[in-house]
Amino acid sequence: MTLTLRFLIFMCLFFRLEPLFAKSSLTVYTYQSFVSEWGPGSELKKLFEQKCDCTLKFISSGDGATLISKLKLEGRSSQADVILGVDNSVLLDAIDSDLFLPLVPSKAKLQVSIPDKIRLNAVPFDFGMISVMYDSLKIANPPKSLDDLLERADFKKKLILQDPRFSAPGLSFLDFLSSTYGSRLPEKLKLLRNQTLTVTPGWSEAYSLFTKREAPLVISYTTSEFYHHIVEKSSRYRAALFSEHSINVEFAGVVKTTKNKPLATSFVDFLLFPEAQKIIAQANWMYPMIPESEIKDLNPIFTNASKPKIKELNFLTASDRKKLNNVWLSEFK
Amino acid sequence: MAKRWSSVFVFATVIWGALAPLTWVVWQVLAGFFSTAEILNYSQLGEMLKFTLLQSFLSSALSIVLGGGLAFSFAGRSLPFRGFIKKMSLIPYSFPTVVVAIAFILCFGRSGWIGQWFGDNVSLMYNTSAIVAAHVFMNAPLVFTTLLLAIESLPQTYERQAKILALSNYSRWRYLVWPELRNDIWGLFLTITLICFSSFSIVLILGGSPQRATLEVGIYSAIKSDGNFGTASLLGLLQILFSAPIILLWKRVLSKQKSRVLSPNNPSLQRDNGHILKTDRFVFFFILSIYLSLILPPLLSIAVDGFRGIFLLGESTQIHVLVGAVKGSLKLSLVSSLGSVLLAWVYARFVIDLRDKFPTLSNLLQEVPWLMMVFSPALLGIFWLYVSIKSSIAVGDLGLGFLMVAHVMMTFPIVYRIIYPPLDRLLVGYHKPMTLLNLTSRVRFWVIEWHELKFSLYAAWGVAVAFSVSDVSTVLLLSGGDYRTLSTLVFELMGSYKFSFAATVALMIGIFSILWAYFVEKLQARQKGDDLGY
Repeated sequence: MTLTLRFLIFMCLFFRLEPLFAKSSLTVYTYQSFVSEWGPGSELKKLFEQKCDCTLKFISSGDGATLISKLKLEGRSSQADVILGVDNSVLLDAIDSDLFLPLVPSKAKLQVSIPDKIRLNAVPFDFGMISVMYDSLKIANPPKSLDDLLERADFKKKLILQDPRFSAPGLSFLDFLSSTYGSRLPEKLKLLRNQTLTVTPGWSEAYSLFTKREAPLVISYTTSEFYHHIVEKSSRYRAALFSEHSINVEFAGVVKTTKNKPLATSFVDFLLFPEAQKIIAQANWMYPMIPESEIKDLNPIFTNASKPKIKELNFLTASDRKKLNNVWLSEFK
Repeated sequence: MAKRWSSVFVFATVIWGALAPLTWVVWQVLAGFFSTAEILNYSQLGEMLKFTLLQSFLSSALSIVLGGGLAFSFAGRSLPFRGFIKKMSLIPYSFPTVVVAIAFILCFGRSGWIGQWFGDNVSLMYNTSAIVAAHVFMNAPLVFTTLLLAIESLPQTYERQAKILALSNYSRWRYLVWPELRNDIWGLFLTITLICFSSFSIVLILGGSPQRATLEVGIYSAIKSDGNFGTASLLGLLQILFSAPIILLWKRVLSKQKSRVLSPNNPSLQRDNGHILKTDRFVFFFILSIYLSLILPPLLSIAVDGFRGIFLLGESTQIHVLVGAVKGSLKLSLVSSLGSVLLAWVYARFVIDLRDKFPTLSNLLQEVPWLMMVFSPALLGIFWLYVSIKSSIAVGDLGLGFLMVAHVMMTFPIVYRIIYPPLDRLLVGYHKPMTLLNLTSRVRFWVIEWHELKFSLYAAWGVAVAFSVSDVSTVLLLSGGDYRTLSTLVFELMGSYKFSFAATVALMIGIFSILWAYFVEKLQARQKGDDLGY
């Protein structure tokens, strides 16, 4: 057999034809940690595929603005049917850009009050409080407030921050700072810069470096502590509790260009089913959107942990976001 | 007739590949200026440009100083570990940048092998020094191995002359060494400047702040954060404007360089002839210790941590992800490199065939691959992303096709530079017999070109595969998130609490790169002593 023939056979094996006949499929764009090995993606996929007799395909991209940007860029050529994981800091931009199909709001009882304009466009599926996670072996006295975090000399170069241009928690934290300090935001960002070891594009990268012990502080959610407690049986990594926390709600929406509207709609509705909510809470490590009492066998940590006081839910417009990002960039450049 | 059409097709493809991205970038920038689209503010732009130039200059200068210093003091010196140091130096520059970035975190990060000694209040990472150090890690060994070969190839008569004339070290350098090696040194300096100018993975991972972003990272960020093609194109245009003079200068220097291929048939080039400069033993050990302390620890940490990770791999349910990434890398690199070799070979033939009838046009067309070198991977990525979006083709369905085309265009200039010189020599030599025998194109290829040039073509293919496997930015921009290669998998795993797994994949890529570089070098050696020109 000639070398060329062998090579051709080898290439054919690589490019084997996809099956010609397949079930109807649904493509969901989401952020990376949602479909990671420990994320809720695989369990949700299994459960939904049993119900719909279809194939569910998750495609991971960055989080927050990156997801919206990807959808805007792809326009009509996008293969996405559903976008999952858009939070309150970027959702208005997506709605104003006419990316979503209108929905009939679910009748499920929600733990957080969501304005009707939003519920007509997207389904909220979990929420969390923005906080700072700390390594208790390295930090005996955690920050007790934002001022503490920004001003204490022993936190210099100890914080891993997410870039608000790409990351949803990064933008939510910036919004938290903005709503707390108002016009004093630039001077507070200077202080934040002193405390920052590195800025990562997304939450996953930041949390990876934190658990790699590159720095003892990272921006995350109060519920991240639950993960370490339940999965790793460790109390090493804890959430610093402040008197008030900013809240972050994650949404899913049906993409306007979908060719699979009924299936896409049934998927976003499915996200509020108790069994889906349980998977999301216990694998995405966020609070479920429906009351914990309605979810059977939910780990008691979600009900036993005291929920910190939260600030009013804030939806940012595209121009709010741009302004905030510009202030941040001018201080961090 | 078929031959003519295939040549015209290749000619049109290459010209389009060169002119389309350039025209598109200019058009996007102009459209941005005359529309309401917000372009990056000028101070941010200035900062980014300043940082890009600064880090590439520092990286090149320090690589030359460290690698060159070691080469001069190393040449002609007998040492117990001489062979080991030379062989080890071949490894870092064959590593993809994403592997270097993870090796640096594993070694110099706060919990890294060396980083942990400095305590919690000192960080060696996430600053300009880390970026420059990572670039020097990759490039100083390249300088060392290249210059060592050049120094050892200097005529032995130089040393005798220097002894007879009792020349001082400075005079030896000024009158004997510098005139011989200046083109090699400038060539290396410009090569490293070009590589670092469009640095992506190292800057993105080790930079630690938007203030430390190269234009390449800026292009990626502009698209990923808000799909701003205007800003991305402006950054791309700046990249073109600044890299074009460097490429022109580089081309000029390369044309003056001497061939340094060691061959038993070439008596003027002898190994171990490096006593031309005398360096103090203390200075030598000082330079050697700096070199080894920069090179060895990251190599060891990636080897050990990567090896440890292998044992966790069996427990991991992500083994299928690894297999998928291996397949992804192979698919992309094998197909795009074949496309690139085919394109370069037909284009080179076309340019050579034109030379008799239209010498000016032929010379002009020969410059086209050089022009294409100004396009960085991220720039090609956004251009093809734009084409894929505007063509309304589902990104996931044909994303891989666009990615392959982008890789063909990315590797074409390098592959062309490898194929052109031996093909030119061959066709000049066989021109008369081929004309007399009136050979068809197919016969000409199988009987003459393939027989004589197969190792050059293999080597060109090997280099294209290596470039394709190590690319991160184009894949991240064009894959749409559903296509993985080994390099992007490392990137992904670093962001998923999977540092051990990432280290293992990085080790796999590292081992592949070393073996691949060895394979390409062997092919180069089999090409009958031909200088392949890279």
